[in-house]
Amino acid sequence: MAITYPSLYNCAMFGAAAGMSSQRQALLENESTTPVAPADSAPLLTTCAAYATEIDALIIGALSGSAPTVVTNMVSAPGVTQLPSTAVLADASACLPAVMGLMSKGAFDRRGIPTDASGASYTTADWLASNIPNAVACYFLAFANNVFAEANATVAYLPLANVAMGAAMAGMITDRQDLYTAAGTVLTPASFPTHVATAKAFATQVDATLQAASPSANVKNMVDFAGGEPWSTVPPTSPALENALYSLTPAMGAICKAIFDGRGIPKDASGVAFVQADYVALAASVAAQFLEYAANVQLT
Amino acid sequence: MTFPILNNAAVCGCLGGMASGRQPIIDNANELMQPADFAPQVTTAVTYAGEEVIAIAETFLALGSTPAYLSDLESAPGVTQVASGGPATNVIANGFQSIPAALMILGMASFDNQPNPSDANGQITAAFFAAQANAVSSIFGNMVFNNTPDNAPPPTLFCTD
Repeated sequence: MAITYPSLYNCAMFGAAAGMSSQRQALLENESTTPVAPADSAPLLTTCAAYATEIDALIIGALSGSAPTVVTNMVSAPGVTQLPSTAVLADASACLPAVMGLMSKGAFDRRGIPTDASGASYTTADWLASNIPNAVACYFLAFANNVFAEANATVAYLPLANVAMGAAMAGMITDRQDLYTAAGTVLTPASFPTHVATAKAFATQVDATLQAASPSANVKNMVDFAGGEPWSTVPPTSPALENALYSLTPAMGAICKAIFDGRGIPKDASGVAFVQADYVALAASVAAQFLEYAANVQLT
Repeated sequence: MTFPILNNAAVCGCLGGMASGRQPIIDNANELMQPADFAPQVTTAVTYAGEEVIAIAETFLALGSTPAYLSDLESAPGVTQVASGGPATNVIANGFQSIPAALMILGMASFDNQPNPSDANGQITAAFFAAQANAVSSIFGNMVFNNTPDNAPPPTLFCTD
């Protein structure tokens, strides 16, 4: 089967495999003490490939006939990835696949490899009958439909803000399994407005914290500040920019997913979902860890 | 360093995993972590990543070759390829979008809820991470190595149609 969105497919597969391996110790231990060999992971990869294929098909179906979106613009033709030659494409290329991976990981974290009643790993037919790929695809589109646009004047570090938003959403579903509580119900991107709104508020605060900080050059260079507001992402035209875009963006994603893991939607004492002001302390910590990492990135 | 972008991905995956489920901020405002608190974590992650990059190289050596999908991430050893133009192709662009994020996420899973990994003596050494790095590179290598579109059974990693 041809894949239309290769990088989303790849990251969905890796993310699912990572989630199924999370805290299972399967990565770390081997009771036979035999070194883990590539072939040992074949069953894991087979079921994850089937899962990712279903994700691709669902995204195709959801976006079929729609106006161009940040997702459809990722490919110039089915299966042909666009070069990140513009600010919009650079932003999308760095954050969308990473978020797909993190959401897929979140959906499977600590759940092991799904098996049917006979104990066999899920096949394509099982995934088709499952609500999981549908829920993840819809959750991802809820994110993708609401990413910060390049014309946004308040957010400077767009790839970082977008991945922070998506990764926060990924953390909110981790261990909660409320992504597909109503088995059989067809979810839509509109099912997740609270997740989207509070994640976007969090990402806005992270960006504001970064703007107020003194980031290392590799972070600053991601944005064209000279052009004034609205700022735009600098397409990667040098090895250093390339390295930074595809190192720093997933790094922000990893940190942001982690601090939301298992928390669901953060709410204040009144039960109201967090708004931007509620995220000041959390964003400060995230930014601090991110900047510590960014200062230690290997450019060569 | 060869494949600095993979090294970076391994570092950030380790950091994300160590931070997973900790929630140091919201749960206890009196224990806000400061920038200095993160330096030891970065040191640990860098140590792990160094071992991870070695393990990846060994994995592909054992598999017989390093696929172009991976090697094309660099124009020369240690020099990251530029995917937005020049010699870049859609396959290279896909690689940049997929491979570093994938390694990061797999590494993250191997550290989930392990905030302070160390050996029995409390030491953080490259050797301590060897088995873990090998396991991560095993899954990573398998996925990357089987990327050819005409593989049967269906390819596990798609470059393009």
